[in-house]
Amino acid sequence: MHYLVAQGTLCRVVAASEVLSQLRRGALEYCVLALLANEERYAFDIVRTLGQVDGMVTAEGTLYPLLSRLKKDGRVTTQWRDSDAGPPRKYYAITDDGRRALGEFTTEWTRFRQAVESLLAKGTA
Amino acid sequence: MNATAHPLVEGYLRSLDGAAKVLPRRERDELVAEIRAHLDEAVPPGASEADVRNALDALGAPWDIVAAAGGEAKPVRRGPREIFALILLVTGGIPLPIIGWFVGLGLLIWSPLWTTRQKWLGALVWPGGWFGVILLTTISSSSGGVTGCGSSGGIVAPSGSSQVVMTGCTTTTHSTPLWEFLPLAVLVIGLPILVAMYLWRAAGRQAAA
Repeated sequence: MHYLVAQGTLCRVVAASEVLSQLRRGALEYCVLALLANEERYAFDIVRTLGQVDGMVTAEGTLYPLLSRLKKDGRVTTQWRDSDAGPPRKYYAITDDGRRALGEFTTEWTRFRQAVESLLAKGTA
Repeated sequence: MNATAHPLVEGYLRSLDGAAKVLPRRERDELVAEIRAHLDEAVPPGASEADVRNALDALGAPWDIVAAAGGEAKPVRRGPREIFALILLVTGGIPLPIIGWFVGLGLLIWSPLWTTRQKWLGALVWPGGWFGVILLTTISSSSGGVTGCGSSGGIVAPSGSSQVVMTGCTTTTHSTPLWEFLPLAVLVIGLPILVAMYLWRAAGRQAAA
């Protein structure tokens, strides 16, 4: 019986981490857009900034495909600029489309977060 | 030193390029170029090996990156291709002498687990494998007078000398002691085995990277 309870708990823990990794993956693209909301950045800068946030990115390399997808979807544009040191860098800038998407996500995310938090609070009370 | 000149970085980029074969050509090239640029910045000149390893760990596994790009990348493993490549190259081809070696050469070139330098090494030690060496020395020392001997298993001294050392052969004609040719025999037979062992391990390292 104890074994079954323990096993059930384990299953739920695995599922929770899966849910969180899906959430993270989905939210990541909007975190990139948020980083670009006020300034243009080059790829390495974006990747390093996100990489330094604990629990946000597990493999920095996966951000590069994400950046090209954002570009393909028209949410960012890129432009090569000379750099003081080394080869030219590709700078990413948010588009109007990207800004709109970021605004929508921010609203929805805030609602979602508040709903989940209030319900979770009931569970722990 | 440029980061991408570091052997670990080079190996990583090669794995990535191999894994990214499932992507359209342009996406693949762009992805590899971007990761290369990333490593150039992440690994400062004169960085220690630990710095390089940390930068590569932070990037994540090549096939994870390719998977994020929408490709169903499977990690390349050491398999029958690599095994047959090495066996055929070392022996010179079983059961088809020389032709078998060329098959081995094809497999060697085909495998993504070896560097160009390693492929050259595999191809040049020895061209034709053991059969190639035997054939070459037999032709070049036709004056050596090897008679009454089977077609395989013999190692013949270079042309100009009349001494012949045969292994697996009963009729040997030599005026000098057999042990004088031992180093040569060890070199001819042993070197391909050593090279094959090295290439096998190199492929394993590349597959694990």
